[in-house]
Amino acid sequence: MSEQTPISGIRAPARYFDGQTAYPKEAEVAFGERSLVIFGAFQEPIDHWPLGSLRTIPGGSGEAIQLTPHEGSEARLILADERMIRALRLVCPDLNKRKRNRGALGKAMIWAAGALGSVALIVFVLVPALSVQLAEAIPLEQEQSLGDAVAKQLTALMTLTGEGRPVFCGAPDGAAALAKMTDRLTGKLESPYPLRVEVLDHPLVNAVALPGGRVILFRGLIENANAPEEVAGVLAHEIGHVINRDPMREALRAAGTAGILGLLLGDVVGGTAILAASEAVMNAQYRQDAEEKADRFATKLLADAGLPSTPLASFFRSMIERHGDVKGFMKYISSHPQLAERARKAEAEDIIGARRFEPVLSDRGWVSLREICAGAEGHRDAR
Amino acid sequence: MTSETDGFKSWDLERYRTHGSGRAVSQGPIEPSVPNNRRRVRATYDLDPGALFWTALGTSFLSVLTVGIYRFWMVTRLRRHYWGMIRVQGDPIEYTGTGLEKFLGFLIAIVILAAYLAIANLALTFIGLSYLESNFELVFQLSLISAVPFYFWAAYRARRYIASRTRWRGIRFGMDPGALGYMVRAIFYGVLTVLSAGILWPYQQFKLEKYMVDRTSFGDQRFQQNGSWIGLLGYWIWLYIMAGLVGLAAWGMSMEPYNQQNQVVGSIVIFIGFFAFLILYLRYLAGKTKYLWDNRSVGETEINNDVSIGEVVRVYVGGSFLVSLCSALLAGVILTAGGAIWMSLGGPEQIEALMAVVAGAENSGATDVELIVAQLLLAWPTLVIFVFAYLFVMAAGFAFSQVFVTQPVLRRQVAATTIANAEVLVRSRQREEDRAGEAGGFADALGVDVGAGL
Repeated sequence: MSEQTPISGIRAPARYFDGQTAYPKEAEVAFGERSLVIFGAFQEPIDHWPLGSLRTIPGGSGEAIQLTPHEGSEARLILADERMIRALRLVCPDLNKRKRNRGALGKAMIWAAGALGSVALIVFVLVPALSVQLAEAIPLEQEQSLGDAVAKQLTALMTLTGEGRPVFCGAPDGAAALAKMTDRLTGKLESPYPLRVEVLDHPLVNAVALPGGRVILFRGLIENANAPEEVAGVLAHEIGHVINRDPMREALRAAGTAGILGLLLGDVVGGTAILAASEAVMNAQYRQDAEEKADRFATKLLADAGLPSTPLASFFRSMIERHGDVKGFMKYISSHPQLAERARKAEAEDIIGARRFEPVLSDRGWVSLREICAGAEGHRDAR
Repeated sequence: MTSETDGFKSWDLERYRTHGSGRAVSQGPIEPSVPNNRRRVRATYDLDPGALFWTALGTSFLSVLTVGIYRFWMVTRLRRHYWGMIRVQGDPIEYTGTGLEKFLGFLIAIVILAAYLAIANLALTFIGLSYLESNFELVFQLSLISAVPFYFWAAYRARRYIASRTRWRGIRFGMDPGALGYMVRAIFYGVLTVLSAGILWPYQQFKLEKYMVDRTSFGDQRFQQNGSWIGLLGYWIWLYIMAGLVGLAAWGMSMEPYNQQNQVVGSIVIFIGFFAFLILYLRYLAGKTKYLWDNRSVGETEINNDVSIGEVVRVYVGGSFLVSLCSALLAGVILTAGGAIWMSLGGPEQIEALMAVVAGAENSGATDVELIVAQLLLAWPTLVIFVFAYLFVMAAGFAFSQVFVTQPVLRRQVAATTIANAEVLVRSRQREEDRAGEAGGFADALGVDVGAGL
């Protein structure tokens, strides 16, 4: 710039808005005593804006700047004169400064902690508590038909593994042995609903409890057990789920928490993965809790029936041999607690130990149970 | 001295600049009187792709790194950029929202929504399980729709927040309260749309947009949405005609499954039909925006829009193509660089070590889980490089989409907007501040698209 006009002598055209109407006033601005003076069309001073609080409005292409006398003010001045803009930047070092909301970060952190805490309270306390209450209030017939629907889905899912839809086994001798085992366990038990124990013709080493008192043992479980007491132990565990109404509670809890974690993340990149991980951890905490309760129930049920729980422990150990135990990070996302720990507890709570006890099934009964899926035609679904 | 020849003052920035002479250009006062000739003013959009790109890249990368927390500041900064680039009669629009208020509003919203979702889902599931005869699948899907009413409510609140944080010439825009009425209407029109197999979709969109626009003001002057939904139907109906053609081709193929020639022709028709469908949908979106902006008024001022729909669709398609191309190129470059870094960090030796571990594990009968853990431990530099590269490419892709799609489309739409009788806008008086405290937080939590391009 070849101009040598001192800063104090600069006069520049501008457009002034008083913040009350959208009416634009043609104006000229010049420096006054520690202020920017705005002159009207007849050179009359309209306004004095102190230089110390003068701020620019962020945004815009940079050709012109928008000024305001102080943050929060509604008055505006639009200025395109390069020399004046440069002079202003020179005299007002705070021109682009934004009010640092003091303690804004602290405030945000406290609010964030409060919000996360409330959401956690809802997800981990409120919904589970309500689920327990509501599970009790659902009519029995409804729960049973829900159990049937789930069973149907389960067998349909198993079709995907290839061997055609598995059937429920019904060899008469085996069924009688199974009934005997169930009666022995539930002799003194008050169940909220009639138990229905069945064997599904499938090689999986597993058992499930469904809503409405339905327990399904898989053929693989019976075939891999070394003694009828091992099967009885697993059955007792599943009966524990039934008595606690775990399947119903879990269904309600899952429905109640659906979509809540999704609120936190929105459509952030990688959000889906984080969401899936946190949901897995959340659900695992509950399932592990329920499993532990069912385990404790099982050892008590076995003791009441005069049966040892050490066979259950050896069943867990054989599972470790087959599939390995959950370790490291997996501990937090697995639906079941660590097998070694479960085996240790089952053994510790055994009150029979090495003493004699009446076997849950005779040798003949055990052979019949193992052959429950052989020979006689099974049925696809009971009802 | 003034350049106006027809009594109209074009608010040209050049007039507010001194050029070397040091003398200010003197101007006479502006007459607030309304001239008889209804001369049109064109809105302008200043282009600064560089600034936009770096803002978008930096903020979106920060958003990714902070697991989405920074996204409220990102959206705020981008809105500030876009708003400031739009000028009417030479004066820019101003966005005054802050990231902090958006973040706090979001926190309020998630607590309320979490409580609502928990109670509503539990109640719906319980009632369904207790009284439905069968069809339990449906019960668990009920929980998916329990947030839908909130969705509409949130959309209105978010628009109201944006309006309350927008100014021109220091005067605020604003919207009257009306989120509940919007929600009720949205549900009603939504049912109509479903019952009409989608034909009434433009009706729903027009009515809901009109509901919002009619409650919007600039200062004390009210916006009004004129026109009728038939204007949108003209664009919408083409999708149905195209669907009919594709259906006809599919029907023809199924009638003569053994006629080779028919099969080939039918397949080509269906293939082309699919792309035509996409283009027609984009054309509907562009046409809708044009029609809505072509039939608006603020007080006694009329707003029109003469954007070329074909050009908007072309820009959108071409821009999207460019975004994919640039993202793919960047991904290639970054992965190559990452690979080189990995090699220099001793990647091959790690692979060898890994192989040794795997072989040892197989011999010792270790489990799958242990193998996975061992792999993760040994491969972590690779993992870190890959994750960073992925996040960076995603962030860059977002920035590319702002520069190649959002901005060019917005620029054309803004530059095509004309305002007749703009002089009376100066009579607009300031309106009271609307706190809109939750700052669009509900829309952020529910992922509602508030149509602000972001």
